[in-house]
Amino acid sequence: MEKRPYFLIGDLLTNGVAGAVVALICTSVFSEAWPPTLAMVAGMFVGSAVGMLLAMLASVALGAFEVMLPVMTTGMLVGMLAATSAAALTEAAAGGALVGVGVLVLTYLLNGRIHRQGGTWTP
Amino acid sequence: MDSLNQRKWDRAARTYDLMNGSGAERRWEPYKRRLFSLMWGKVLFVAIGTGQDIRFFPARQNIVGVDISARMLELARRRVEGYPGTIELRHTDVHDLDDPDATYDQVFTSCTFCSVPDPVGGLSVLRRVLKPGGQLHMFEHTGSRYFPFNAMLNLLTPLVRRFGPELNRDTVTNVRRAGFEVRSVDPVYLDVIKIIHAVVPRGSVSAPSPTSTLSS
Repeated sequence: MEKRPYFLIGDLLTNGVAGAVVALICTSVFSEAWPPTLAMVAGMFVGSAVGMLLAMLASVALGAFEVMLPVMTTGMLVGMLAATSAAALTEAAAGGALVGVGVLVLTYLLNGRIHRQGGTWTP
Repeated sequence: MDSLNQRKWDRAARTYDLMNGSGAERRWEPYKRRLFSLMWGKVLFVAIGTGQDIRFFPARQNIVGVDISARMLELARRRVEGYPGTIELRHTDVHDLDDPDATYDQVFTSCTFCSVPDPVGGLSVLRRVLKPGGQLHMFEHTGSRYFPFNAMLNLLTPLVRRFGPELNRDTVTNVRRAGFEVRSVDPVYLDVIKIIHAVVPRGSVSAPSPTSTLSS
C-alpha cells in the first residue's frame, strides 16, 4: 500500500486534474442536441483517450500502471457523466475532480485488499 | 534471434530510461530492493536492458545479464562499470541461451515476460539452465481479473505491443506451464504488478537443450 507523500499527493492531483479536464472537454464538446446514449458512449471513449494522454504525461514522474489505471478509469467515468449532463463548466470541472478522487480512493482500497490476500516468499 | 523483437527494443532503447527511469523506478524501488536482496550464488538476469535495476542489486554478486537489444546493452555498460561486483553482459535472446543445463542457482527477471514472444518457451529455457531446486524470481506486470482494468489492458495490448510490451499476459500460469513450482505471488500494485517466486522441482526432468537434443 502506497504511503509515500510524493506519490499520495501526486496520485491525488493527477486524478483530480484528469477528472476536471475530461469534464471540461466533454461538457464543451457534447451538447443537449446529442442523443443521450450516443453522447454517453462517445464521452466514454473521449474521456478514456484524454485520460490516457494525461496518464502518459504523469507517468514520467509517478509510475506507469499506478497512474494509467485509475486515471483512465476516471476519464472513462467522467466522460460518460459529463457528456450527458447539462452542468455549467465550473460545476462540471468540480464534479469531475471529485469523481477522480473517488476513483483513486476505490483503487487504493482494492489495492489494500489485494495486498492483504497476497503471499509471502519463503525460501 | 528474433530480429523483429530485437529491432523493437533497439528502437525503444533511446527513450527507455526517460519513460521508465523516474516515476516507475521510484515507485517500485522498495519492492525491487527487497526482491534483489535475495540474490546469491550464480545469478542470471534476463533482459537487463539499460541496467536500470543494477543500482538495486546487492554488492558482490556474480551475475550474468542478457538482453536481446545490443543498444540497451551499450547503455547498460556504464552502470555495470559502477557495480561493486561482477556482471557479465551477453547479447542474446532468452530462447537462444546456450548455457549448459543446470548452470544457475537463481534467475531474476524484471518486466521481461510481458515482451518475450514465446513466454512458455522462454521460461522452459530458464528451467533448463537452472539447477534442480533453483529459484526463479520475477518482477512482472500482467493482466487483471478486475473490471475495468482487465478491459483497458486487453484493449490497449494490440496498440502497445507494436512498440512495447503486452499488457494482458497471464505470467503466473505461464510459469506453471513451463514446469516451475510457484511458491508465492506477492502483489505490488493491484493484481497487475506482482512478484512471482518459483522453483525448479527437485527430480524434475529439464527441458532438453539444443545440445542434448542433438546428442540423443
